[in-house]
Amino acid sequence: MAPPAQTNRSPSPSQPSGKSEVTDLKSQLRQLAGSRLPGVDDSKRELFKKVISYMTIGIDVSSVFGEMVMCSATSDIVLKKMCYLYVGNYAKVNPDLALLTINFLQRDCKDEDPMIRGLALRSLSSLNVANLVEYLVGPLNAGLKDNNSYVRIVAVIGVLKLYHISVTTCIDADFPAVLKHLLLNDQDTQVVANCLLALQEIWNGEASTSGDAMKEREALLSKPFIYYLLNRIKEFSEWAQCLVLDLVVKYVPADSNEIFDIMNLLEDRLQHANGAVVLATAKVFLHLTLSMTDVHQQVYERIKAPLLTLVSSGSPEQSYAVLSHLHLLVMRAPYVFSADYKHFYCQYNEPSYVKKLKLEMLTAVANESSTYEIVTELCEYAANVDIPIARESIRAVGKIALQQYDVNAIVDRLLQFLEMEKDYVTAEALIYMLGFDIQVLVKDLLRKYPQWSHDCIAVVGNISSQNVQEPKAKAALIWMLGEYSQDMSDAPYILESLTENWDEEHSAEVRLHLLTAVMKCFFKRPPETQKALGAALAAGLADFHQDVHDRALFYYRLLQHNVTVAERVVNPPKQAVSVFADTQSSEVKDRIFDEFNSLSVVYQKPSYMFTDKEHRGPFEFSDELGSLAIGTESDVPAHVVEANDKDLLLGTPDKEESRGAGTNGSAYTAPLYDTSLLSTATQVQPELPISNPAAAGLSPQSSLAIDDLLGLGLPAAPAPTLDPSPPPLKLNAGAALDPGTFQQKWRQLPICLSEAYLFTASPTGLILIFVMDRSLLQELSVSPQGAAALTTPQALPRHLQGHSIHCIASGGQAPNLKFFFFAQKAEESSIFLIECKINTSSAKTQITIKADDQSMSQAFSTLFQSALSRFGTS
Amino acid sequence: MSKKDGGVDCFDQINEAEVSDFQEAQILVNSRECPANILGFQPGEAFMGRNVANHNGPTETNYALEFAVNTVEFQLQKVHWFKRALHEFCRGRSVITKKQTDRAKKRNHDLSILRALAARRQYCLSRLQISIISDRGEVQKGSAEIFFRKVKFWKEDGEEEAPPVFVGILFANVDGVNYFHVKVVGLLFVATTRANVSPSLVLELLQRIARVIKDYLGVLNEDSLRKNFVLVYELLDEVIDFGYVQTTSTELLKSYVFNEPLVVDAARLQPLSPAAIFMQGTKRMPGTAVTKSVVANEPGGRKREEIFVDIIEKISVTFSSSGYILTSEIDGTIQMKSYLSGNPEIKLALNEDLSIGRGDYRSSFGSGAVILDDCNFHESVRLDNFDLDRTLTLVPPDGEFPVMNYRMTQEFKPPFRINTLIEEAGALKAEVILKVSAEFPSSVTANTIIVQMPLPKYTTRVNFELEPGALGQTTDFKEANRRLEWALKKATFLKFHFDFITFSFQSNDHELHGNITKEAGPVSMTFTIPMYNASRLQVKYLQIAKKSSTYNPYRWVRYVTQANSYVARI
Repeated sequence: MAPPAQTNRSPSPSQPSGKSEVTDLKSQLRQLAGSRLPGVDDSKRELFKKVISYMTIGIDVSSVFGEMVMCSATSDIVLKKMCYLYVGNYAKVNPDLALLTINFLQRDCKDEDPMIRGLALRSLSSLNVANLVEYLVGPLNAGLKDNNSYVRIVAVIGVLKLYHISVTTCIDADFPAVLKHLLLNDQDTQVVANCLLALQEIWNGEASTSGDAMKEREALLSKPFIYYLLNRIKEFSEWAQCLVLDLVVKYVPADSNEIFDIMNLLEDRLQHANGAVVLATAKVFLHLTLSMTDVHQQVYERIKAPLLTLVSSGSPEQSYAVLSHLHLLVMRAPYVFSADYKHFYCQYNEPSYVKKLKLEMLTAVANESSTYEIVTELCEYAANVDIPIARESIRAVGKIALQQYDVNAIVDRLLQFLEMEKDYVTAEALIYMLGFDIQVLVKDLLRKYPQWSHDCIAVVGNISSQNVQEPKAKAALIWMLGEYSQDMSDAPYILESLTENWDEEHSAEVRLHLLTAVMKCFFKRPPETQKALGAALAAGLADFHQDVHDRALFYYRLLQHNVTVAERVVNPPKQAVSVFADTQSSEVKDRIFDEFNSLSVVYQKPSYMFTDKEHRGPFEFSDELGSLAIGTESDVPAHVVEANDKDLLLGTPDKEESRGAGTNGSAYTAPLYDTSLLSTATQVQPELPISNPAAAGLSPQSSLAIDDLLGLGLPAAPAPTLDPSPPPLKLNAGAALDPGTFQQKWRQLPICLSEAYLFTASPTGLILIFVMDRSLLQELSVSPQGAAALTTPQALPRHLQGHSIHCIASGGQAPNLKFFFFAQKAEESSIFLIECKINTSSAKTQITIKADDQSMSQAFSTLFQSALSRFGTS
Repeated sequence: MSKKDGGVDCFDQINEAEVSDFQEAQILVNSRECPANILGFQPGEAFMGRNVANHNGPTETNYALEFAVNTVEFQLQKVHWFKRALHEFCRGRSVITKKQTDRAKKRNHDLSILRALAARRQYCLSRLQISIISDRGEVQKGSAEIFFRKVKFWKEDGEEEAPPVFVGILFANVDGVNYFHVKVVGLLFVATTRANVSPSLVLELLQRIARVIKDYLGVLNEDSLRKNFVLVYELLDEVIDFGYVQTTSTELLKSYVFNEPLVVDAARLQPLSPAAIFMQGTKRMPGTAVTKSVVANEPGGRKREEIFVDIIEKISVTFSSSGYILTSEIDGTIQMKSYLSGNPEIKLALNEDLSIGRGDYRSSFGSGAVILDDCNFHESVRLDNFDLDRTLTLVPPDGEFPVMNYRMTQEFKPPFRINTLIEEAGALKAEVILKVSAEFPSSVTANTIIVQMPLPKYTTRVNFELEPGALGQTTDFKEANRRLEWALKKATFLKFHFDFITFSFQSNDHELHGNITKEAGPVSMTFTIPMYNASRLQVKYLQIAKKSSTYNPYRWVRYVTQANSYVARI
């Protein structure tokens, strides 16, 4: 890496500090440059060091560039290295000067010493000047064929650097092919690893524009190649192992035997001391076994111990990263960790970021048997000197209480906290904070367990509202005063005094709560509250805060309109809240799980929420589509099934077969073949504007052969013979579209058609019923098993590929699957875009079609339906 | 500092000597222009910032000021002057206006110190900034400052530490830079990236980089880094290329890196132990050889053939108020540092009855066998015979590395027992009896024992009564955080040390409500016990494949037990 050139970034001076010193250096360097005296190298070293130290602290020493280059004519490798460092730092900002260095760098690339060859090559490729790339191709070519592995390692990365400077130069020189050759044949594993990462980057970059690159990228995930890497995995360095494991995650094994083979092979990687390797392995295990529920559970058990070891053996930072992942696992499978809750107890000297995570885990793993102990432990933290942690732990106690285990004891504890507060209410900030948490929680609890209200009221009644300052706590207290005013004798008077001090209340939230509380109190004890209500409404109407003003006005008009209605609005009979809304939807959680072993887990956000598109990696879904989906529907595409090229898929038939068979995990059995059913379906389908009772009636039969339905999904090879009426619309089989364009178009084009289908399964596959009216969907009771067989998202795109409809992205977790397809009209550039959402459990499909040529959309829709209808039949 | 040390120390010069001339300042009309360009300032001459369209909040100035106040005990009135000047600036004006120039002239020295310090900090930080992808130009320059500000002002109240990973959001559209940092012996190692990478990979890498640098420099601290920054650059160049990790093995790097480390005079420094690398403290291990560089030659010429094997155990115990052990865990590491030439194969034999079970609390106790919950191994370790006779075979690479990490929740005998008794002695007075008893063999000695106990907030006065005859013990009551400290330099098999502590309260509001226990405690303890390990895991023998009959390198097998979280509740 190059030292940061501070000159560019700080608003501090860009002038050299000691101009004279730089000039000094310049003349000294010039003297030495020509000198051949013994010991000259030592003095040069000193000078070079000085130059670099200036450079480091942000002094512009680019003026000595020429002298540095002159001095670099030396055999001293230390000098050379310093010179390269200097050149690398200034070449980009001074392209003209960089030209000076080309000569000696090129010469060094042919040096006898492999170290110098490698270093020179690295410096040459790091120049990062676009118009000098022509000088780079030759040395890179030589470097890739060098017999020293160090030079080859550097050269491979050099190719990647070249690719980022000039894509065309890199492709034209045919470097990817050379890299591919090295990837498969080089003896040095670091060369192989670098080739792998370089090729991944290059082909990902090219995949959107070139079918070949897409094919090549696909080939990286082919069985022989993955096996080639897996068999050598122990020879790779630990970092390269992570790279290989990341690739293996994307590989789809053919059957469960293969899955077990891979897992057995990687088993010992879980004992690696490097946390990155362990987590990457864990990801492979988790993702391989997603479809095998039992094994998946065993995987949780298996990876638990190594992860816990990492937590305790590493640095606090590493613990944090691993704990974040454990947190995710705990959320997914709390019962796996329920016996290990003691591991999540906080240690007093841990950094607070670790403690916070542990507290969250403790709330997640608490179950009937462990609640008591966990709450006891949490109560210990509540007395902690670390205030944020004390607050967090009280919050955790509350959360556990909401999980319904052993509520009595917990509420007792919470009340104890309140009493603790009572004693020390005076001017103790800590206690206020604690009080805030407790009251907020008690409020939540009361909503859930009204029977507890009486006990709480006794305590709350003793808290003087004067002493509660934190707005949230105050709001909670006021809420309780309003809610339980019939039980608290002086509630109206407290509220009245609060109303009198309306102007001193700065928080709008508190004022809103006060309004509501006074209203509630009024309906329960009208004579006592009347005065307060009048005052509160008057003050509320005069309030400058829009919400407060509006609510006061609303209450006022409501009371004017009809008092009984107002009571119904303000004081409806309360039902206990059973579940508080989860903050994260399950789709988001699934998406985070898909991005296991990445920053998403640490931030607890899917990657589109914090990275920009270009840095997300090739297999990710584009953010626009992601957020679009979030905005409209709750289901989120989880990962992209790569935009396949048809030729490629046909070119590797064995793989496809294996994937197809892998989808249902069971042995291959021939599907029942019923031509009559199929023909009814296909004939009926195009002209069916509403549901067809005959088709719906098929559903009972479908349960006969659940396993054999969609899962078998033998792809490709369309069966034209079965198609009674090929649609007139012809599609271009080799259509290509990159995700960026897709996104752009998707946003621009209006929706042509939005349809909902219901599909039932038949022994022959899928029969679509075309329903225009969504309300009909609910009325039809259809067996959901048909769609349930669509367990892997890959089967459908592959099927549609045979119909020249290409998948650009897919995602979601069963039962909610989501696909984006596109198709191109033959001999025209008109593009159709399709969004297809499938709920496999309710067997509903919703498609939205957008098209360049709107007139063709209906025809296309028919075609799409017919293609879909043959899914699983051919 | 003399000039010949190079520019690195130029800030020291500024720090010590007065800067000759202070430039006349002018009112800045265009706030978009860097004031330095207009004023022609040189580094260290003034603290400057730019305020474009009033976007910069006062954070930057605050941060400079806070730095000045905290780090350089600046006199308050000087700070006040700065504050005013900077306040002006924050409203979109220049820091230094014509009107203030006269005053500035008087105080130019202070100004320059402030700037020098700010710059110096930045310098230290940016030199350590290890930008994984920054050499790809994807992360903008200046991220070091953003990072530092983020870490420093993570939470306004400063109560919480910044987590090791976070996203920097400076402006709505420039976010997306992820910052990773790892703290090693007080130095921050930072990495930035825009990609969604594996956090554990980056953090592990940063840790590894710190270790490699330490291997090379012998000691890792600010001074040694400053003296060897060219070498550090060279190392980093080889470790990461174009954002991709190449190698972190000191062994391999040795053949690529040619700069010789300038070894920092160890006598001047507090030596750092391998334990310190994960123990963020100043406790140190016995032995001095661990501070020597793996590559540097000894002054005497030939390197001494030796190998260090340290079994370091961190124990965490929580006692309940009744003295019952609530949780106990041992996190151990077998750390190895080899100075052997020729990389001979080494065989390390552990207890034969060692078993690695699936971790279950309350598992069998008393069988005598050492049962580890789980362990992991360094990649050089071969486990061919591990199942048979519990031997590890490895060819140790150069440098320091953990051979094996293990975790044990099997019950063990804690080295210390803590008993605490709190009694009310009158309405405004309470008495605490702290009893610590050592339960390890008399042949071992525990070092640097510190017992700490937070007392209620309203504690005003504390009296200590130590057991008569106790030597080398100190007691202290830290008013600031209401914490009492009881330190013992050494302890051998100390049975029943009594420590009476009485504390009294402010009289106005508080009366005792039997709640002292909620307000005080828990008692925590730190200690180091050399040549003792609680898990009874042992290295039975250390066999080095012999090259010749005369080859007999020094072998050091050392045990040390440290308290990680040793807490007794009251």
